[in-house]
Amino acid sequence: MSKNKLVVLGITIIFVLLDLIVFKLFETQKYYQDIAVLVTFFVLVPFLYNKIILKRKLNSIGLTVGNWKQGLIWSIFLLVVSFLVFYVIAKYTPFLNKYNLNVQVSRDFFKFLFYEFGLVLFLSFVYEFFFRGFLMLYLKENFGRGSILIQWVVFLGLVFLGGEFSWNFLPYMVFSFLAGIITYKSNSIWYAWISQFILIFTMDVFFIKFLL
Amino acid sequence: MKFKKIPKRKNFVIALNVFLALFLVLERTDLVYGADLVPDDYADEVSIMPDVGYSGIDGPEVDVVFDDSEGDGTMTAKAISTGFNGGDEDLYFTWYLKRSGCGLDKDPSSDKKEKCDEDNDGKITENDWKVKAAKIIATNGYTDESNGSSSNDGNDDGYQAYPEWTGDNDEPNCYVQDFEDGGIYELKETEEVFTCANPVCVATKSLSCSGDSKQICQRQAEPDCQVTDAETFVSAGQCDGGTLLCLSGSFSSSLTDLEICSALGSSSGDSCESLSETVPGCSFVEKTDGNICQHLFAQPDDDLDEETGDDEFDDDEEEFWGTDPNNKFTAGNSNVDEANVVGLGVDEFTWNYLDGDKVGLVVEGESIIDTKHNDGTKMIMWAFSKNTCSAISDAIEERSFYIDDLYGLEFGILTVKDLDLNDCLEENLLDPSGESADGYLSVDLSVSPTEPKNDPLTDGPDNRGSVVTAIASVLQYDSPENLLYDWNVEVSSDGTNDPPLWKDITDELTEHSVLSGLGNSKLTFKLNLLYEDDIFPNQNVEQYLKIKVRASEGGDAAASGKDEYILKIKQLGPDVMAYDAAYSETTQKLSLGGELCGGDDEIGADCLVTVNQIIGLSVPNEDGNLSAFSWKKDGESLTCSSSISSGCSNGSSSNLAFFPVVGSIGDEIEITASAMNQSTGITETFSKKFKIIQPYVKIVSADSDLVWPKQLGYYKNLDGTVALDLSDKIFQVVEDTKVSLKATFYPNSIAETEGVEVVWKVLGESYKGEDEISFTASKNAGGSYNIEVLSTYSQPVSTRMALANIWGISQVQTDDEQLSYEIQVEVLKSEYDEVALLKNTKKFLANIISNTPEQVVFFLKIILSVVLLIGISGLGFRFIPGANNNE
Repeated sequence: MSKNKLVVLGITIIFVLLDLIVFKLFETQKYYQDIAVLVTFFVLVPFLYNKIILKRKLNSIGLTVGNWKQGLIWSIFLLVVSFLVFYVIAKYTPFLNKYNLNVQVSRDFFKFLFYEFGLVLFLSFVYEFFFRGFLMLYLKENFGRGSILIQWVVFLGLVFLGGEFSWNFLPYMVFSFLAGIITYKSNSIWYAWISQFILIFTMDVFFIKFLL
Repeated sequence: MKFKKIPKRKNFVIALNVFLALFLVLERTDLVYGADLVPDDYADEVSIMPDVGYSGIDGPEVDVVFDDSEGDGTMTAKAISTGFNGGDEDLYFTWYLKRSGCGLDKDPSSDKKEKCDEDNDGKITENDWKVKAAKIIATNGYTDESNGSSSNDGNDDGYQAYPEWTGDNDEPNCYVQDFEDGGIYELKETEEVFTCANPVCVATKSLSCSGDSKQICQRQAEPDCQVTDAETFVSAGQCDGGTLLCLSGSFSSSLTDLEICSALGSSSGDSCESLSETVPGCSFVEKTDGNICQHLFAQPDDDLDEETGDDEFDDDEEEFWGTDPNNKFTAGNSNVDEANVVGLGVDEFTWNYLDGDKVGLVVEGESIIDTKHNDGTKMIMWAFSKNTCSAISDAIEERSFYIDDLYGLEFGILTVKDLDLNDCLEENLLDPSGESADGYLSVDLSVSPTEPKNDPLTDGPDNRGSVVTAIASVLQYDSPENLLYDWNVEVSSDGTNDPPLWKDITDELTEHSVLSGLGNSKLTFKLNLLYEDDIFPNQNVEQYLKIKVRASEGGDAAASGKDEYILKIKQLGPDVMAYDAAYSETTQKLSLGGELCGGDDEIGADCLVTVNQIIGLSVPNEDGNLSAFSWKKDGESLTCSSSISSGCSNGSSSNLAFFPVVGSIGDEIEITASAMNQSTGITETFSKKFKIIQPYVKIVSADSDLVWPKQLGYYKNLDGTVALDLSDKIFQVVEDTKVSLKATFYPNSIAETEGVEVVWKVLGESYKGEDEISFTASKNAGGSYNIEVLSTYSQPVSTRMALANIWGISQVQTDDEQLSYEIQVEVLKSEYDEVALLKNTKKFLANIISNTPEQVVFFLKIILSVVLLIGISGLGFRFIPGANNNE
């Protein structure tokens, strides 16, 4: 690795650390403030850093069609895997008892649509953009497959050490690793994004249909 | 300088370590408190935040007056309805006539059937009374005589009653009002919903499987959802046996020990506690096809298989009702025949009166009250001829509710099911013979509340006594507003009507409406009769109140009438003692903590509390004379069992009670406790009022001789006196003296709450910890100090656990509260100098910052953070040797 590449890597890691620190330190009081902070530090700031500082193109953060064949194949395969994983999790952990869906969402179709296509889709995109698109695809150049693990550990670290673990977050946490593989193979975040959404949407439908 | 190439694997390990180090720093330094990965509002269960259950609006009423002045043996009953939307022509008047000897009978004699069984069902029911009256109305004297027409009217005389209720929830809703407490309830069936998929009542059981001791979790009973506070729409799951938990891994109750051992195999089993600790909340939703509204129309013989008001009125029905099949207007009024059967607009009923006849009326129609569905509909309600119905009061003991919403705004609706309004009819029968007499006015007095409380201890506005309202109504009188009403109030320790024992206290009343006057049919007064005024000769006996009214036309020969009403009054004792409740996570029980709002000086004053606080209540009973305690919260029973506190016991009430503060900001909660005094034999009553407030903090002077609130001016009172208008945001101090300030919390109990910290900000410096701060005003006269106090209040974890475990209150409702308060302390040359405000730049900027809206500050902070992050990274590339971001 050249000296320049190493320095850029170092600065970028520091930037990521600072971004996450500022994100966690940023006090929010209202719902819209949470959304604004998520968008700012997980989408806007990395986007600007990529554009202004790294002077890289959008496709470098996965906003591209990428290798669609790889994307589709790995999405389908890992979706099947993730369903199997959750079957095992549901069987051997109290996941189904702990997974709570908003009562209003479970009883009101329009609220359900708003929840799935508003919040779940939005959150999935935000996580894909930062962890897979920005962080992993950048680290991929330096760490190869190890970047999948790094982005996953960063995500889990933020969840656990940020005191935000809840069983409702488990699908995001599990799929974060699998999404890394999809993005790694396809060089695009769209496949992992849609796959993650399909997983959570399906789980919510299953939960409402069979468990409530 | 040349960097050595680092292998990829090493890079990976270094990067991983850097990230892990970052998270450890964040964790250890406790810096993680900012934004959330998932916005809070959707992270958990959405709580139910309905509005109030019902208002104090009176529902529709009807009065019936009788007239037998025709002298031909007929009696006419005329209905005067109030509270309906629209005129009589839009209402359904269901009259019913009970002839002598036609009482309700499930197994009547053949003679009685012959005489009274109008619908031929073999029983004497309310429907027979309705059919009797409906036939009279529909035929209006028609007895098979020809009207000149020979063509059958077919179904032309059919009438479709509105609404067509079939049970669908989209159909118009109907409501009943409980005549005792005024509550309005929707007739709707509901079903329970729990907040998790598998709510179960389970208990941990020890088993011995082949000599091995094992623990298993077994289901005990099906959980059900009980309304714990209908007025604030609070419900909680309950179990007849076991503990309520969310879990799916429990054993069925039907399995034998052997079967369970077999299923366990080599597994050692799990206790229920180890499987789950989630306690489900519960609520209610509308049942599909849960609308149970039905018209009360008279129905024909079951054998006809016809229904009244269905737009069909064929020959069979014509024959049953006795109407002319060749004339669709048999009664000769503007109604077709079936419209007369349903009583559309029939506000008068004339029949041949026989001794022993009794008549009643139910009026159905749209009331003037809007439904809570905000769809422009009015409540469809019923009024009864005596405006009473104990069946409704009985039904609301099993009341329920459901939460509906409109554009995201949730509201609760109280419901009753299992109510047959036909059960109201018998008690609403009127006796026409007893309702009229020349020269005598039939005055009917109604009083509420029926068991008012007198506060003999507190004078002035804090007096806790009830406001008694008495209303006199004069039956069969066209213009009661022209009558002269005289009111008297008497008190006695003897509840009998023995006149010498009653003492007139009308003049002793200090807060009351007009006592005598034309049209003055309503009297209100406050029960603030003090012991010290010697109104009650003996304080240790029960007291009764008698309200008397006399209505007269005026003049010597004029008609007059009077009525009186005797009611027992409860004497309020000292305030119930209020405490913060302490929850033990070990025993999972509550006990009394620190005292709240104590002191004799505060009797009657509202005790300030905040939402989700748990309040402990106690009635002092050191001498043990009090027993058989009965607690009520806003009129509803408040119970305390041994599962809530070890101070309480199952099956008998003690002098302890606990309740969670649930409601909206500004709501008042009234607690009353009644107990039997064994030495005097009378029931003593204690009370306490609580007011829910948003928690807040204020800065006050700790020593008003040194720092004092700025005087802004005067208030001029109506009596000519003046009161100082003191600022609570601006204080003054003389230079070089000590400024002592104190943070005062409201409710003051939260100052003692675990985890509440106080941070002072003075001159840009932060001071943490103490609720008092002092410093020397070293600035020159004309200067000022901006002082801010910040604090975060959150319910202790133990309280949150108690809320969830005991009352099923969702944790979402127990968020942190950020409290802050800011003042300015102006420095004066001397105590007597008022220094003019100085217009300097610093003050201008400070003013702008302090008045900038919170959202603007938030977005400025975000923009600044973005610029800093990008800027620092850019600088890194600029100044670190060898960095080239253009590569």
